[in-house]
Amino acid sequence: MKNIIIFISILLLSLVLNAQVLAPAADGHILRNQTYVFDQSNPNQTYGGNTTYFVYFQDLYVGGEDTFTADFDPNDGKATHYNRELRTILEFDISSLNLTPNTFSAFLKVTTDGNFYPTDPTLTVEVYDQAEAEENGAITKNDYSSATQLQESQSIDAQNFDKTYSFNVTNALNSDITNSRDYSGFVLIPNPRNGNEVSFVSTYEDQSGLKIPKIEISSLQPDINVTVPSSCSTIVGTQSISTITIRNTGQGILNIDSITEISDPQNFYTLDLTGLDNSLDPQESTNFNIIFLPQTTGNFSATFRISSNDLDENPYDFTLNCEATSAGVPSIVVETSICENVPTYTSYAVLITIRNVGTATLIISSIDEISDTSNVFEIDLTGINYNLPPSGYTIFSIIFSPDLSGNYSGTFRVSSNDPQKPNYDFNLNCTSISSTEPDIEVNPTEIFWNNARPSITSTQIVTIRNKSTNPTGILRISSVTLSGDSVYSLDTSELKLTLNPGEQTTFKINLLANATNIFKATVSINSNDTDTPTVLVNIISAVTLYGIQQNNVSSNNGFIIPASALASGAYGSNWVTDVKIYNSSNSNITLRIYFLPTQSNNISAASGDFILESSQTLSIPNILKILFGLTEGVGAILITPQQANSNLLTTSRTYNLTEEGTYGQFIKGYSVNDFITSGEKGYLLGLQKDSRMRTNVGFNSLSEGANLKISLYKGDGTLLASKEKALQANSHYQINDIFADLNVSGNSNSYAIVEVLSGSVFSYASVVNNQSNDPVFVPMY
Amino acid sequence: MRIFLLFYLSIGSYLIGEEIWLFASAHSTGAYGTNWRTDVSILNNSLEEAAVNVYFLQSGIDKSEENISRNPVSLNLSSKNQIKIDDILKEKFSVEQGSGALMFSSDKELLIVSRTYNQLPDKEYGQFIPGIGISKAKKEQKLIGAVSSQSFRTNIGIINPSKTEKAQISIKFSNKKGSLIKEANVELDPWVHIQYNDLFSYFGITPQEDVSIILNSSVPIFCYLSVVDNLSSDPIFIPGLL
Repeated sequence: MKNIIIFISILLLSLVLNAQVLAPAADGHILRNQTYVFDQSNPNQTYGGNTTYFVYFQDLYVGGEDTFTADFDPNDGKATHYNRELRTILEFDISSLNLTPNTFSAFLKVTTDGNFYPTDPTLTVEVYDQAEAEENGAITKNDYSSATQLQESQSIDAQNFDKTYSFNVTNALNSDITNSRDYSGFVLIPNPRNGNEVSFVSTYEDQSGLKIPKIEISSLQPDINVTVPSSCSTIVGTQSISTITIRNTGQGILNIDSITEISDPQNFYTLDLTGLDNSLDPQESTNFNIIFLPQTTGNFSATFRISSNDLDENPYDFTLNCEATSAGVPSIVVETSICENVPTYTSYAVLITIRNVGTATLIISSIDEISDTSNVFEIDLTGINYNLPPSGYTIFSIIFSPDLSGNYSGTFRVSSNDPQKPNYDFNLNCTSISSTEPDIEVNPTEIFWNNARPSITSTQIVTIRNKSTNPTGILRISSVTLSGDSVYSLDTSELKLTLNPGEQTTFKINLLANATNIFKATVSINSNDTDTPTVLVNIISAVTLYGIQQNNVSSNNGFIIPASALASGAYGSNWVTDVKIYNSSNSNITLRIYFLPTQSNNISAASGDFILESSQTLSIPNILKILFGLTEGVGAILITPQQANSNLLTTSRTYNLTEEGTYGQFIKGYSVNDFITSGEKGYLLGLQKDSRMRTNVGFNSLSEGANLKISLYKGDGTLLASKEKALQANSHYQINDIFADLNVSGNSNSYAIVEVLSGSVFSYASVVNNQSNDPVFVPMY
Repeated sequence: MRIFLLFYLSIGSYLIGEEIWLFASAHSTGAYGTNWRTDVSILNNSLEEAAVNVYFLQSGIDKSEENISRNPVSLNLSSKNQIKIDDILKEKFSVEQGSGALMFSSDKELLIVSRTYNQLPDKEYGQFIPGIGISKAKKEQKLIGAVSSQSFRTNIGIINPSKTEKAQISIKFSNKKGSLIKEANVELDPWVHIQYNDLFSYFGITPQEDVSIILNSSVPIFCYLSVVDNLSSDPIFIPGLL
């Protein structure tokens, strides 16, 4: 069992305007946007029985607001609730309500409260008109069965409350008004009616938080709404058209009976009702025009009247105010910018300014080229404004593009509404001169000496030429400067700083070193060539004790860099080798660097000698080119210190030079003690041939030459293939793609064993990525 | 007899049964979309099956205790078999983002090489890193060829392979003429691997070419340089045992 407390009051409501509470109109129709409030004087009555309960209201009257309670508390002796159907009887006192039949709509608005038994998710509630006999202001048991015509049924949420539902009771209320009844009653019946699930429709209204049933009544009348421009203005003798909009913001059809001018003292206004719609549905609109054609200056008003079926705004009068100003005259002025000394084969934009110095808007209709005999002008109207108010201006361009020097003239026309100068012609005069651009050429821009020696001066001549063919393209050299190692100097005694087209001059770069090393410098040549204001000449020199000489190879105490290259390789690769040598001893070391070409019997080889001080690093970029002067080559590098027990650290990087940078492998210099000798084995791990990688294998021998056997194994120890190879003295030999060379298929996990049959051998693998050509150097273990 | 008593060849020479170290390895996603991986090849060059324990020293100055307590991964290799472990940090140590050194321990003769590379959708590039025996760890190490220029940058790595002693390390940097240009001190706890990227910036050295580095430590250490092409990002690995 559950207590149900019901708070109900009654409110008969229409729409609200400006929060005012007004009385009904005398003729009984509901005025738009007005409010009626009904309360009850004796609200708290209940009737109880064994099985049914209902609530009623009576003696409603016009006045303030109030509430009453229908009490279903089972313990107060007034009522007992048996969990059965519960009907709600609502009677409204409408005796004071003056409504014109068929001019309104009415909706009964009720709100569920939280005092329901939990029931099905939804519950159907039917709203019936009450029988006429019971619409008497006194509610009895008979009212319970007084429902007659169903007005509307709705499914309501039976588990979530405080929701408002709106039932259309227009027909019932309209009938009661038509029959001049004092009361209008409604019966709210839940359906199903005999289930255990009892629901009750209470009410809720937000005023003071009380639960209040109400009827909202809305007029079905039309409502005229007129929009009039706030101002208008025109020049005397010209017309201004103002558009007036009529909108029906009411609920009924708005019929426009007439629109008339009721006041226009100067007779400057004219109505234009072309296209006017005389019948507007709710929210529909229509337009008409009022033409203002003044004959004198000043402010002028006219009043107009709209007659319609709007009940409270008929007729609707409005006033239009317009200003008449004196007539103005536009006046055009055209200004041009200076156009002089434009270089040939260039384009120059001449700015043209059009000004309106008159008192009326200048309207530009066209801009045309009248004459341009040399065809050097072109109009560019980008950004132009064709309507210029008084004191306004706009700018456009005429592009001047001469191929020859000289004087040029063109004539152009601006057409406008300027009554004095409807076609304004102006001349544009330009002068052109020949281009003065010089064109510098420097040769050579890269200098290297690979055969220089200490205390001997080497000289390189650099030529600067002005390639321009234009007679005025004079090259002016502003500076020639040298930066880098101090072994270099410049001799600019013969240098000319001004070169006519086709003329050339020279300067000298001298190298004079007092020690061996690799020396670098850069010469910067600055000039008035705007395309190439600075040209760089890069210089690098290898200064060795005796220059590059052919010497017998002695590898007994040396270090071998097993592989080096200056060569183009597979997949578009370009291989270069840089070498670094560090003297880790406490004293100077004289060392000889040999290049041992691949597959050669290197009893003797080209070599250069350096003296390396303690803790000094000798860094030789691109050793095959810079030191040995080669344009291409592959082989080993042998570094032999002349002093016993010399402590050298030797490294190199052989890399693929690309536009994206370099991809390389580190290769250190290996002591001859790292070579294996007859009967010994070396291991090459991580060999691979598949879609990702390929493997090359290389060998080095010492002075006595060597014989070896290489065997290729799968990772599980299975022998794939083997071959023997004889190496000449101090030789380098590389097998590219060892898998193919041994005629075995690819394998992603292989190793090789190198067995020395005679002599001494070092071996390595170079595992190369097929996509990047990046190698890693895998030395023999 | 030689192969069982002393297998001693330059860069990849080991004493049988000694710890073998790979100075660097990675499974990491880096700047500019780089995707670093390390593949390792291990050859059991003995006539018996080899049981191998692999230890991972995660890079970081504060990783000593973590590295020492981390359990090794065990491998068994048949005689004369080479196994290739692709992306070893991910596959064996479940590393999702990390780098560091690897140490291999066995009583059999092992040969170990590795390749650490940037794996891109259309290509790979990387550096060869050999396995180095613990006997090559020295109190004095020399590195040459450090460079900082428009074309290259240089990273330096140091490992303290001692599991019990701290390494007090002094580092001296000299220019190509041999003049001292910078000194620094580093302390590494036991079993710590550290890499200083762009050493010129880290140690405040003016960018130049051909800088040589001498490290003196209270205990034997390993070290290396990684010289990276700024355009291609391709590195080369220069071990400090030259």
